Amino acid sequence: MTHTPVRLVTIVRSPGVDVLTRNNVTIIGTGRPIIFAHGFGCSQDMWRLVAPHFAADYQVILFDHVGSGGSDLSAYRPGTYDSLDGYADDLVEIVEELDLTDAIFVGHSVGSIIGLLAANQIPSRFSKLVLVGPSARYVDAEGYTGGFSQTDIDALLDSLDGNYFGWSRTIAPVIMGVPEQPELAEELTDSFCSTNPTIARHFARVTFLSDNRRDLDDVSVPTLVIQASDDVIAPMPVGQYVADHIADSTLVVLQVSGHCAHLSAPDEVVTAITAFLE
Amino acid sequence: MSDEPRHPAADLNAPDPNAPDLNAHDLNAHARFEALFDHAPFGYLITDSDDVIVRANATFSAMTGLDASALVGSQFRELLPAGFQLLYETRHLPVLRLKGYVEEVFFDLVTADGTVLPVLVNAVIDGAEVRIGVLAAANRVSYEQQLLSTQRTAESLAARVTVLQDASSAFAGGTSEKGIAVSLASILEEMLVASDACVALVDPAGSLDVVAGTNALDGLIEGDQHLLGTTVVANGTPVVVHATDEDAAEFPAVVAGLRKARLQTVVVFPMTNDSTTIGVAAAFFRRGRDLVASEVEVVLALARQASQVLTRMRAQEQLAYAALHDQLTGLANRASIRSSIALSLASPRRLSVMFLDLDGFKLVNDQLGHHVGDAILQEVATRLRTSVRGGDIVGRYGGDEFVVICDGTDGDAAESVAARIHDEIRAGFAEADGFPISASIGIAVYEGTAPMATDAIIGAADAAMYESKRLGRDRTTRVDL
Repeated sequence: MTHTPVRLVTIVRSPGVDVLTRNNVTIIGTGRPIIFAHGFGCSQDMWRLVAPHFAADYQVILFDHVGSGGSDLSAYRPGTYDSLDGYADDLVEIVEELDLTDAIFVGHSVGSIIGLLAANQIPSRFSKLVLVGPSARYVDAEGYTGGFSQTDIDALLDSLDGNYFGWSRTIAPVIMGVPEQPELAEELTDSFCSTNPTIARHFARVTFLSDNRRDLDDVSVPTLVIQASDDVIAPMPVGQYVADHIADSTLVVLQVSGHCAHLSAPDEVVTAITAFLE
Repeated sequence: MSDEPRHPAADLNAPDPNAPDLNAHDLNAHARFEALFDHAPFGYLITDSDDVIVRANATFSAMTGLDASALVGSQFRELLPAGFQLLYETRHLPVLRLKGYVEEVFFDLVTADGTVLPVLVNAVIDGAEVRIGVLAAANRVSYEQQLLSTQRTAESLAARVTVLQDASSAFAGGTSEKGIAVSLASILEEMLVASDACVALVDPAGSLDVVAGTNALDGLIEGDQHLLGTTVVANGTPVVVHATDEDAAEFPAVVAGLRKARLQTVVVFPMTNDSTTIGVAAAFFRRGRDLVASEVEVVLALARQASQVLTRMRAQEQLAYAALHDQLTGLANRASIRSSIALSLASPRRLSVMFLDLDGFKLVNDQLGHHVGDAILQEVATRLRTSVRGGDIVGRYGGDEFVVICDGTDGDAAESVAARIHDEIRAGFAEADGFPISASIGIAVYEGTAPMATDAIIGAADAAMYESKRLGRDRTTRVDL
């Protein structure tokens, strides 16, 4: 069936909600806006090695998805965030609240899909999309290889259970013998990627069981796909699929290992984004 | 990616036999450290910045059944099942890189014979290397998972009890149909973790009217198409529609609507009181949902509870209506007429009260029967309603006697209303062809000056009506009080 990005149901934009507080929006510098969206498992901290490179020439905008980092956890309604559209609606609200135009969006992993959905809602406000390690669907389907099975996703949820059991325990700083790190750094870094375990579990389910293949067809904004050469979460064919199904897109493959190129090879990511923006 | 060359595995896995100039003491110390490393009471690995294992101790080899040559050169991630690789890549490695260390992370390791070994991992970044400590944790993990599972069950039961308690108090405290419907919609939305929910009630015309919540499928629950809602009302059983090609065959418009609204599932529940379905409650989901039987039961019970309250509320409304209205004509009854007049008289302003008695009605009743008589009275009621002005009140005082209350109206204006009534009644009645029927009317006009009793003004209008009868019927007599 042909799929239209136009919503027939009018979403009432949360009246009276301070979206900038809700999503812990951070703004650095001035100029053409560039928005960074993090993926599952972390927060805007993920961009700390990449985003500052753009602060001299751009208005850098960072935010946390509701449920992650410094976002307002009380804004979390599981029914609303039961699909990536809930997160995309928030991003639309941020862009409209800041009245951004000609905006560049840079998203990692599921954050890239969230940005893509937001751009499909309000394409006129975006001029470029950069998708780092995107996957339109993680679970294999007929004629499509996402790399994972439903059983794998169930195992992920089990793994979250095992890990977040002691979530509240790890809030209290436990000093470990890391001589390089002074205590101040310890305090500052302790909140990295903080995530409410219940919300993380739901976000994991929504993220890894999402199917956004149809949405790729609706992308009208010029798009760069940054693909790591060795990424088990979003392997090469998955990135290739995303690039193939977005009309105006470019695929750049970085010779890096792992799913978080912006952490393991930030300079290469900065170079690729800069080249795309020029 | 690191530009540093990886450590040659052979250099690290064993003391180099060709190492020059080591004295016996050094060799002894070196061997002790090697033994300490290899036989530490936990698995110990070193990886490079690309997660490739460059060194693993004997304890880790024993845990996994993989000897050093199998481990070195492969990525640590490869030892994990796919589900845990997701966590490793999306959370563990980012936190490790940002924070410099992680501790007590739980993973499953796949061992050489394919069995799964739950472990706890601490990792520290040291320059270009990562040091990883691995502790077998099968017992602790299974214990914690049992605790977690028990805790979840308890929380889920507690949440369900809370929902039922909240519902009971919301329904018991509800004072309007809308209030009950709003409560049911919000309880459903919260309990089922739906993106939206709505409640639609069958209106007197028999169609569904959304009275609370958000109907994310405009026109599909209510409205002309009557697709889902009326199906549920007719069958009295819940219907689930997913945005899938299978369901599109049966509910094409619903599935198209779901896709346009970016929803995956809609569930519509009947609101049934005994055997009567008085409405539906619908829940909308952004992700595909299949409700379990116990969830459906709870929702149906809540919907039944809401239906009972609504039905009781409607019965009370009907009683209240009956107390103030004439059953045959639906006009205000005597009690209602008297209280309306009393209310008007409470403030000092003009009031005209019209008393009307039909002429020729007794003959119709006697010769054509009460059945025809009742039909005439109903028709008269209709004609009175169309003859009076917007603010006037029409009532049946008893038998073939009617009262029209014209609040704030002087005698002349009341007389023009009366003139229209005369015309309407004189027009004849199809049910009583050949029987002349007309109206004798008396109007009492009160100027709002001196205090006036309800009985006095009704009595005056009644007396004026008799004067009209005496003067030959089919006319109006006016008395200014």
